[in-house]
Amino acid sequence: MKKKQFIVTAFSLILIGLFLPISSARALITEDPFGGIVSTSIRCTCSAGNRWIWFTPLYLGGPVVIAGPLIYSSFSTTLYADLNIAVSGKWHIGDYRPGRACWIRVRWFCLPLPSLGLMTKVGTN
Amino acid sequence: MPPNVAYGYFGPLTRVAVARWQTANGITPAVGYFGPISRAAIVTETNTPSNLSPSTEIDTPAALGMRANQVMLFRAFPFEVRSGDVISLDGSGFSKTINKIYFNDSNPVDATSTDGITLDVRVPLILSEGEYSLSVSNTLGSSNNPDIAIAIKVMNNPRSGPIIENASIVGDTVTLTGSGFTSANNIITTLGNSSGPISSDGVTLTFRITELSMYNEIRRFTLGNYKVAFWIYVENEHGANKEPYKLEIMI
Repeated sequence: MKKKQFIVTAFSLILIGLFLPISSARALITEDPFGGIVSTSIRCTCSAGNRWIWFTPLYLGGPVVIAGPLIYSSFSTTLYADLNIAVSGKWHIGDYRPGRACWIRVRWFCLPLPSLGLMTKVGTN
Repeated sequence: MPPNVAYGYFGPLTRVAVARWQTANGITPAVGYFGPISRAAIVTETNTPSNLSPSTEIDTPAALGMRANQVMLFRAFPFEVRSGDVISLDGSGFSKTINKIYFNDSNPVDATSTDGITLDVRVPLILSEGEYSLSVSNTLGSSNNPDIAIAIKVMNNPRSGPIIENASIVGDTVTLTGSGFTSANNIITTLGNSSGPISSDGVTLTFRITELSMYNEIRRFTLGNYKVAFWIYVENEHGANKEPYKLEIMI
């Protein structure tokens, strides 16, 4: 009898769990993980304090390993040890948020230099 | 554990600190545990107007990764316009309630931003033909920056800037087709810039990716094994394409 009650209770909980809405906190998460080795970097000449950093390889958590750029911002990226941000050959690992954050100077205006996004936090070796 | 170091552990030092805060805020008993009375006090404290961020921070949202509390202007689009045309500004720290846009430090126009990073403004009819440096002012200050002059050109017959409709790559040669290309175009990409202006017949433009400024620096790491997103801008005397053209390439 107790075993039957347990099975009914467990089944009910699973059913309830299936139909629960995604929590608002989870729905707001827009950050993705990344990791990679720095190849080169340039200064964002219009958005001073930001740096456009190219990674090879760049791991984004999926099955495909790519190469590409991410942005480091001295105003909004939390930097962890060993603080070797943008140093060529150093491993970086952290989270990023998609969006444009690097503007470079071109004659009478600035252009948004594309990247995969802005690092929200990063640690280095 | 030494004091003043955040270990994420609620120990005797934290308990003493909480008790001290409770005493200072008239919470009794000040025993150093964070319960409903302390929680209510914190909520009241953080909702007191004097502890809120200045209203200017809410009114002037910063763009992703940009310094808060600073108004910045990056671009006016299009570059060539008639007086009376609407131009779109990109930047950071634009006010949702009031901004003044100046043309050569005069002829101010009022405008509001919905998101803090874009602003639509009509070019004053009073402006005669010529190049005008733009700036945005609001409660944060002015976007004026001696190193970055954001300008538009007021003309009776403005021309469209470059538009890339298609791009292809064969070997290391990229061919762009579109419009608005001139006899002197600069290429700006995620692999660097062209070393100098590149000529075009107006509708096609050809350049070699191996001659871009950062190609060799990146290639020595990628060694031809990676597919990357190659983003292209063309810039000339009439402006630049607003959004980059994206091409998948192996490098």
